Amino acid sequence: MIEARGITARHGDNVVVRDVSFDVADGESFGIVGESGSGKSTLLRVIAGLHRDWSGELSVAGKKQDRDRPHDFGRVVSMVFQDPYGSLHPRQTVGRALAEPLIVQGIRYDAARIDAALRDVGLDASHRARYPHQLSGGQRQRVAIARALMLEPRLLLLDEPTSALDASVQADILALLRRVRQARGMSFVLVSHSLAIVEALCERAAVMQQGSFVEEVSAGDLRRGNLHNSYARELFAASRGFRRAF
Amino acid sequence: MTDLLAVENLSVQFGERAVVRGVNFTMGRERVGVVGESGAGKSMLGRAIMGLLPPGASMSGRVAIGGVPFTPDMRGGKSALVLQDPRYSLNPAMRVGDQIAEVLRLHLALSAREARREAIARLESVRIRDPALVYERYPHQLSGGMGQRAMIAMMLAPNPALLIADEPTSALDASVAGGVLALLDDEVTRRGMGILLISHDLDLVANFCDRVLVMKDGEIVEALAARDLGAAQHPYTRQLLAARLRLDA
Ligand SMILES: Nc1ncnc2c1ncn2[C@@H]1O[C@H](COP(=O)(O)OP(=O)(O)OP(=O)(O)O)[C@@H](O)[C@H]1O
Ligand SMILES: Nc1ncnc2c1ncn2[C@@H]1O[C@H](COP(=O)(O)OP(=O)(O)OP(=O)(O)O)[C@@H](O)[C@H]1O
Ligand SMILES: [Mg+2]
Ligand SMILES: [Mg+2]
Repeated sequence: MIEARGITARHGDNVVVRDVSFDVADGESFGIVGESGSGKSTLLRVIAGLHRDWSGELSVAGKKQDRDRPHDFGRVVSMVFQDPYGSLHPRQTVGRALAEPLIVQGIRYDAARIDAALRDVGLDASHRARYPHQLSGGQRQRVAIARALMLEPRLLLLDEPTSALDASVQADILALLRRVRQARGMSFVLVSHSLAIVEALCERAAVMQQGSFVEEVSAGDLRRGNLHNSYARELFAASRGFRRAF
Repeated sequence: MTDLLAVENLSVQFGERAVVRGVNFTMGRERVGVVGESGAGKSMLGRAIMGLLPPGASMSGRVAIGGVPFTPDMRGGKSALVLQDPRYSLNPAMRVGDQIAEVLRLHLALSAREARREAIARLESVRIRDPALVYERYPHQLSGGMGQRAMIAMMLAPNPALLIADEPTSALDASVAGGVLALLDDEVTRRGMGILLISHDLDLVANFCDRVLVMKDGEIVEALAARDLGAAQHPYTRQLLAARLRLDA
């Protein structure tokens, strides 16, 4: 699904992604964890065709990608942004935001389809007429997830998709993601600061620090903390740090 | 002793719909966590305490800080709020460092040079790499977690007596989050700040806080000592505990 070779990305003079290479097979899910500011969101935006200042070789769904992406790229790939506030149009109702991807691709739809999408993420028809600022943080995040799933993409890029959700709603959303992935044979690239979420959804993961992949591991090794790089080990130790047995 | 924060019969409504319903609690110079369902009214509670509700919301009830009814001029030195979407609460047209320096000059009477040096130190205290470089950036040029940390640095700058922090570490990796929590903890132990920490992370709250308030549908359904969280009685709290995702589960 993805072949990335030597991807380097800049913001102005700053190199924020350095020579990153990885593969994601069809139907596979790949996680990225790492330090805040290490370039995870920038890397996802390169794959999505939203960050233009990059070099290297990238194929998505078997096609070599340039800076500009074809019009139907949105049918193949969609992204859930880290910041749902920024990605939802402030003057678009929730209903309109969910319809938008269908409209852009010229797909017919009805209100039932929108309501079903809302129900999938634990919201209901009463949220359809709201604007993004009239939702709680976690409700906004769920609208962003529902929107990304509207076109049933083959590749879903998820940037901290459940960071604003309580444990119970988060469990429902993870179950939804697993279900759609199985039903549609989708691939995920998931960025999360939660090793537990990455381990729950992905088969493999990379640990990122200051723009580079410092280690790639299987989900099993991540769970067991079987890590070699010193930063990766520090991250693993820290994520157990807030734990008290209860 | 007067309570640092006293909230009495606080309600928030959007038109007919109440999203915070008659909430009562008091807190001292301690760490109090607020957990609960997405949409339960946690953010609206925090914003109502600070008189920072969005347009369309109406509020009733009483809020007192240090025994004195809340007034907007208490914001900054007495009480500060880290909003849930930090990058949208920073001024988009001003360099991040200058925003922090301005707060420092205003509240700590520092010169421009001193304020700049101190702002860089504050960015470093929230574990920002290259703080002098990040000083010059605009909010949209920060990563999600860097924006969150810049906001925390800015809100701590005037040494508030009370900090309300709405999901302050949700965009941080565990290692950096640990550093930021240690900093907040230090403010509590060193100068007696009180912190109301809104978080969906039960493990974090159980470890960091002294007490926990559990919210559902606009009400506090359970209040308990953090160390007793595992023995919570309310069915909703039990449901939350059961749903926790752990690496070794
Ligand atoms: N528009 C921009 N202009 C300049 N620098 C930027 C811009 N956007 C991001 N950066 C910088 O690029 C680096 C990587 O940012 P990125 O958002 O990819 O990090 P991240 O790993 O997603 O972090 P987080 O976990 O905090 O979200 C950071 O140092 C950030 O300050
Ligand atoms: N401007 C608004 N107009 C109408 N309803 C609103 C508005 N803002 C928020 N709400 C509603 O108020 C309720 C409480 O929202 P609040 O943001 O306090 O929830 P929360 O507990 O912080 O949730 P989360 O954990 O998802 O951030 C939600 O149901 C939300 O949809
Ligand atoms: Mg990011
Ligand atoms: Mg909230």
